[in-house]
Amino acid sequence: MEVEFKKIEGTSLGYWAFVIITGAIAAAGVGAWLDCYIHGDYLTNLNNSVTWGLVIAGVLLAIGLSAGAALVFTALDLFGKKEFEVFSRFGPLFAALWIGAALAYIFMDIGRVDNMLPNVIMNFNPTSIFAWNAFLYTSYLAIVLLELFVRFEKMERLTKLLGVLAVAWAVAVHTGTGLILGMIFSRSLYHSPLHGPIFVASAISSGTGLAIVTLYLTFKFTNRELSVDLIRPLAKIMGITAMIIGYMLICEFFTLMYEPANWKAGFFAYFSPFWAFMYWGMIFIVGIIIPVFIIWNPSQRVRNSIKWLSVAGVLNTIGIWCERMFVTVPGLAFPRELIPGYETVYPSYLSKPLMYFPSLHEWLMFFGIFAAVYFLYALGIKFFAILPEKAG
Amino acid sequence: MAIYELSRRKFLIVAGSLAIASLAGGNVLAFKKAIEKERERSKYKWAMFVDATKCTECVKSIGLDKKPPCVIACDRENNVPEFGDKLRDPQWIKIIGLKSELSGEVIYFPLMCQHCEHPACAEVCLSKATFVRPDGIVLIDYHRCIGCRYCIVACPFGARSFNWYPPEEGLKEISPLVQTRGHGIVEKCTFCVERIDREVQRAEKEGRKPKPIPACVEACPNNALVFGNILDPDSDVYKMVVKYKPIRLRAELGTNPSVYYRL
Repeated sequence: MEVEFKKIEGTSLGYWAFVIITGAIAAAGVGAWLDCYIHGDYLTNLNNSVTWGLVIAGVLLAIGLSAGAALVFTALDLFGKKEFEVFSRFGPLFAALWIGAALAYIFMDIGRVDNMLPNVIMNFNPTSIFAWNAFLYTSYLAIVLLELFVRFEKMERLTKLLGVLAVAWAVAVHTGTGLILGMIFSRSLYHSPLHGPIFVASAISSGTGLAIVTLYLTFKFTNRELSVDLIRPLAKIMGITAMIIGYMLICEFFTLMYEPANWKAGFFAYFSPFWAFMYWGMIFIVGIIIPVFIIWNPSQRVRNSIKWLSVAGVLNTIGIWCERMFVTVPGLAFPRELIPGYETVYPSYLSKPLMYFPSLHEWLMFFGIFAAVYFLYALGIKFFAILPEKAG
Repeated sequence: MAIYELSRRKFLIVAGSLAIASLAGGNVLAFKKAIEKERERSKYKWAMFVDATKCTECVKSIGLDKKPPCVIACDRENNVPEFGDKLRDPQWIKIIGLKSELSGEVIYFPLMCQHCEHPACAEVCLSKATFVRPDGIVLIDYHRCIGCRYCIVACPFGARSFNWYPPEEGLKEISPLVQTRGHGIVEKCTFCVERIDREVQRAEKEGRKPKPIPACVEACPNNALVFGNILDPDSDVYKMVVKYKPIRLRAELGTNPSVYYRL
């Protein structure tokens, strides 16, 4: 049976209100970035110790959302799951929007965009995993856009080929992103090979989670039909990968804490009030346990409700966002030990873990790009036939 | 037949990717070897010896609220700006106080770029903005730096600073001998590379051994800092390192720093 994709009407007041509001938030984000770019990055709450914060966590989250969506939707298609053909255009679009968002976050975070473009290409450093990622991100964006195009043109063989490429690239992109942190050998909270696989799993989990919510809300507000039979398998993929993330995080936790040299840093990351709340509360309870409890709930009414599964998707995405913050910030905020057996007492800001809370500019940039994705998504489904009228 | 064709195609794909991967890997190795060779050819490897016992006395006598002479000289020489925001101010030299967990005694010493032989910062730099010269000095090309701050994350010592503020606003006077920086890029100690290059040029013309003196070494009233070419057994820095068997910070990471500390 041929799937018939159809543009949404997009003439209602609600639709335009959504476009205008997301557009305004995106504009505010761009404004905040321009302010930082022109006047200096002191407008963020970052400093020479905590040099990466919310916006870098945004990069990690956005790449994950993109890679996850591409992996799941394309892989389902490659495995011949015909019923998911209804999302065969949504998947690459979602992936392209989020990898675009990730690139936008990178542009916003770095100090000198004007230096970036020529130098990253002309002076490619083969020993820098970040440099390889710059190549992977841009080529990945090109691949998913091409995939979207050939899906529109219904070129069967090319679709398969690009599908395989997109899946391979999504894994590479995410492993590479995880290793940006994992390869940093000078910080014990960063240095872990598991960052690569954890990032791939987080990508699949959060990418599927946010896709579920997005699909649910899109179908609901455009008065289209979406069957739970299509959403449940997606939710199961999300739940299983969420449990895998939890498993790997626990492996990392025990390995790190086994080494006495890591006890101080480990206690800070896992048991100091704020980060313990983020780690155990937000990542494990909100991001993993509650979604899993919803997806495999004893009650039929919960586990077969798209609404509940969407709630699970939102919670999981929030949990993964906290995981991004958790892997980025505590490793930087905890002071280094320069000579074993000696405790740093001066200067005071290097003698204790620093607190980091993003500034208004950073929040605006973070939510600005988030809003920009949904702004473009809303316009995308109006001007292109992305989704069918009836799914499942 | 179909199976045979399929496997041949698969084989070609795998072989092709392996070839590309090994080419890329080979290039990386060749690139590293070229650097090693160049380094072997260099007559100089600049290094610093820090006598922290003298530094501790100096810092204690001056007081922690004032800057010691080495930091003042460095700031002036290298146009290091100041905004009164310690967490964000660029600092080429930081005074660090370490307390012995056993005796409770506090030692103070200056922490600057350690000019590692295998610097983590240069390894991670996206655009080769950070690089190692054949004479061992780690430098930043300010026009290549994109301000991603990955090097600050990777540096084992915290020797690097990002320009969170436009630096020209934090300078009272500008030394024309050292390049100024713009906001949005990373900077750090260069071992006063301009002084070194001038001195090496002059000495080689005059046919003598160069004895460059960085600003902090020059300003130190207690001769606590000794600078020189560690490849030369007659140099003061070589003699001090041999005599006192100093330590290097975080040596276990294998980056091989060029700054030695006598505790």
